[in-house]
Amino acid sequence: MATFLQQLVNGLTLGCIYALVALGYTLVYGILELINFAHGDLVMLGALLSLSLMRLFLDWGIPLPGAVALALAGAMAGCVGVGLLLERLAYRPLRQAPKLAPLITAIGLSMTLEQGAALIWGRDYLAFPDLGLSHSWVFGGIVVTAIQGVIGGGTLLLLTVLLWIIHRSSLGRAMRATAQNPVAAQLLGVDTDRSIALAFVIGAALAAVAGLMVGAYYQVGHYTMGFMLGLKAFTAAVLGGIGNLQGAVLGGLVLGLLEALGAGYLGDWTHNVFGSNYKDVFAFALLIAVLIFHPSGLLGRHAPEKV
Amino acid sequence: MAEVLLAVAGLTVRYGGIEAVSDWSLILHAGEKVALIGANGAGKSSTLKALAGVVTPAAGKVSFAGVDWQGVPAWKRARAGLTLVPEGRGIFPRMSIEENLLMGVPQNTTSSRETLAPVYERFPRLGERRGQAAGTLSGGEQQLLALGRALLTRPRVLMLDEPSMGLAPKMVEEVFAVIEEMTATGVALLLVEQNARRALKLCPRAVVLESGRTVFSGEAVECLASPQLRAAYLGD
Repeated sequence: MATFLQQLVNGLTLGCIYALVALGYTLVYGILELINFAHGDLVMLGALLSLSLMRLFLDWGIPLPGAVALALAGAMAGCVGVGLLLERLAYRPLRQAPKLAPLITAIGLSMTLEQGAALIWGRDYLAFPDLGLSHSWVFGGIVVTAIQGVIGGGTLLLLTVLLWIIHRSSLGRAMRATAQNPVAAQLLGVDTDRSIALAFVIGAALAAVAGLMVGAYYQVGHYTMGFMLGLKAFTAAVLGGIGNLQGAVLGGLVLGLLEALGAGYLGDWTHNVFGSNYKDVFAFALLIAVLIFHPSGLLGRHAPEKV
Repeated sequence: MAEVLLAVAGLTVRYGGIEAVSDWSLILHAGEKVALIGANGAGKSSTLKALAGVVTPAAGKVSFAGVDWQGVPAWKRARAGLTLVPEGRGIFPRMSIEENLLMGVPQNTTSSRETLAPVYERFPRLGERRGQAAGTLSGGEQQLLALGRALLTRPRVLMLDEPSMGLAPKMVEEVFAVIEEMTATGVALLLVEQNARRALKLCPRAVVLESGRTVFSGEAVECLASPQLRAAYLGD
């Protein structure tokens, strides 16, 4: 039982990170029907930017909380800038092109970002500065570390802000209108280009936060770290129903839990034929199963719209 | 004579090799009501779309209240006071009725919820169901929603594309009553309508399109008096 609950805590932590990244995929897909495969690399960029900035600010003698806050702000600004550049220079010119063109572009951008990061940060694993969040509490045999608490709390806060923006603000209303009927939105005075850019901005800002979280959690940064994370977050978005915000969160949490439980129990169940290193197989087996049996995902729509 | 609101000269719209609108011109004054009549494929919808800026014309000049609209995007045209209710109504099916209406309220007005009150008063059905997804409304109710929303944009020129299409006769009457109310306050109207008889009753001026060209432009009574036009468009 203790193992189960422990894996639950670990899984939810992982799930929070997947959820934040999955939201970026789903926001852009919801408005453009584009899978932005470069999104995972924005998480990597967020992690490496915050890593470097934090080191810099700590060198300057800025106290740790201030250095973390400034590094996060810098990483968010950097990721948003790159996200906007991708939209403006790569995706917008292809908006009328066949679907395959922006998809291939996205894969190309992903490689460009990775190799660009390798040029800047090198190909070695980089140690993430210690955020002093390693202390932990024990609740009835279950260990919860401070970083897990910060990830959970931060995710909750961001989700609240995001849902408010999308569902309560006029900017969010304009974004949803753009997603549902772009021509009608324009006819009502909505600058749909701005709505689309905003989806990239929000996704990139969330990716930067997720980058800092994942770097701090595993205490490592590497130019390829966005690849697997991006694929899994994409899986989470599909699992929840791509284009659906609540679905992305649910998909992220479910995927994180399944992975953690898989890692915890796979060895026992299979008499150590498969170990915890097969946990990634879980994620993708799940993706394939969803695509075969329920392609619209847990919360996705599949009923045709009444016009 | 009232101010010239919309001036169109030599408008041409092409889709691939097909010319939908050819060298088309129109002068629309403030408060003027014009019915745009023509068979399917005569270029009526293409004309409205080009004026609204959602279709880029191959040639021609459009100016609004004296401002040249070359290259002005659709959303800016809408904010300037040209509102098109497109064919199919253009509602947001997964947004609530209230949110659909709020999309019509100009961005810089703050007390947006109070501005909805007159719409709910005029259309109690929409008020009762304000929290419901707009996609659950019937076709006629969706058309009323689209008209109510267009009213909130405070248009100077209102363009309606087939507002009565696919509606039950009783609903057609209601839709026309609403259009009449909406334009009674001096809003200029450009109305594309299959139901030519009904459109000519509402609009004092008629323009008849054939293969993207104007074949008649004049008073509605003249149009109703012409045997050829009656035979072609009024089924006499």
